Amino acid sequence: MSSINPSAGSDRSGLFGIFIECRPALLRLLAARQAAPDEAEDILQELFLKLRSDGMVPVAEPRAYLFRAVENLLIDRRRSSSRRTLREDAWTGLQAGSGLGTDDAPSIEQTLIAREELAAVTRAITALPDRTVHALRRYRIDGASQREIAQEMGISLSAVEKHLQKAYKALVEIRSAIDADLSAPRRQISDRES
Amino acid sequence: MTPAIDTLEAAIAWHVRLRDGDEGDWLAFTTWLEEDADHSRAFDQVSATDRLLPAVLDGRSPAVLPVAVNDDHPPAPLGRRLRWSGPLAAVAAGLAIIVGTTTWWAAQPQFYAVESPPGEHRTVTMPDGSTALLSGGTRLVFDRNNPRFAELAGGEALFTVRHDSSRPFSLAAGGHIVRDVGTAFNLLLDADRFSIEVLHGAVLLDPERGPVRLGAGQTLAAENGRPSLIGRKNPSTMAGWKRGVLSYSEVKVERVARDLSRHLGVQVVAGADVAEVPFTGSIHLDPAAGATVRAFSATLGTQARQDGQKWVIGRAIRASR
Repeated sequence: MSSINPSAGSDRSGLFGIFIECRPALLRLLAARQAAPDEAEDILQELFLKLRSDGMVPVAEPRAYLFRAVENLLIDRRRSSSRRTLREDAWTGLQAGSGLGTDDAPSIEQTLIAREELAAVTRAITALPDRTVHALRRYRIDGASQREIAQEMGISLSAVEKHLQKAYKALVEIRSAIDADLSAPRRQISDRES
Repeated sequence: MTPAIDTLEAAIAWHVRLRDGDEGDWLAFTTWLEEDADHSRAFDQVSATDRLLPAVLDGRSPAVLPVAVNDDHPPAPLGRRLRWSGPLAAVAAGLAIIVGTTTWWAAQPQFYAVESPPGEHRTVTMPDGSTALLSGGTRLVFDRNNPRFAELAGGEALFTVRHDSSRPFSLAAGGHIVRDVGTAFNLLLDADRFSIEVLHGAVLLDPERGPVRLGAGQTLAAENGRPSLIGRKNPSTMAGWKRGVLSYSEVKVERVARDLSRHLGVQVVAGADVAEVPFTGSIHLDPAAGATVRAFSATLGTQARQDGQKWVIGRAIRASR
């Protein structure tokens, strides 16, 4: 049933051509990202299918686009096999306000940990200078480029980079601390009275 | 396991650079990754954090969690993030900021406090027949305009709440809201602990921000700066203080001493040699405070002595505090 839309054919063949050309470099990136060889092949296959089925997006930097796409696919896979997935799904659950009051809610503990983690990250953000948070928001939420942010804030590109790095550092650190805490042996509070 | 700080910093720099990066950046990134397998792990960590940012930055995140009375860092402005609605909103928002202090309440004539002195219990019956049994050294604040709301400002109390689904009872404590779903529950709040035991029925913790439901036989304990622990406990052994029994599972002696002070009505201090020691076991509260403190000290393998008005467990008194 599905077929390649002929009207977009030439653009696509252009991007396909670049894809074939970049294949070795993409495989090298995947290997460097510690993907197993068959996983890497799967990811490239997935990207190939995506390129074929997605509406064509004008790409200023087609090669950078392919690298980024490969990285995103890898992250998605890694996420679905990660120990943290449940916890992060619990984050999403919190956001949606779901799971209210059901007896068999997936896990109270997951919800709690997610909530505390979210609160910790929120605290870490509120502890950052306003201008740093502004730069982060423009960059990450609004998708503004660093050059745009530099112009808006009247600062240099490297100053924008510093703001962003500072924000990420604070957040990565708080999450590592939480992970370290969680991987320490945990006890259940059980029947304590003899 | 955790990549070194400078590796993380490099991973962050790459992450920031790559979003708007060109092919050359990606090739250089590949080369950097190839230097050390840790580089890839660090980059994963940064990516995972990055993925959560929209949730945190767009203002939907829940309010700041347990706020200790002596927290040096005041919580950030909460109004923007709190989603509490209804007539309680203003009250609750105020609570979250002023947790543990009474000045704000004192200025509001509609609020009044009921206190039990250390070493004494006190029962409060609310207009709807719900009761609160206060253990020693406990302070509850009520709202004249809203009989279905109270704040536990500190200490420990057993609440038996008459359920009314059209007007649920809400209890504020340490920045949390506990809402009953027809229940009896015990709640403890002190400088760095928040703990609930549900004897029967159920409660919703923080109904407006990612609610957690606790049913009969469940416990929740949050310690400042640590993830909360959920547990199970036989309801018949909950609120043990009511029967003169305090039970602990790996709780620092310093905290146990604080509880003893509250329940016995005399100051009990842990010496530096035992303050940080974790204690597991039960303490039977003897009306004679000294006997209780001595028996407890004996189980720790140390001694207790009286120093003026207070009891000291262990050899030395802590330098500060």
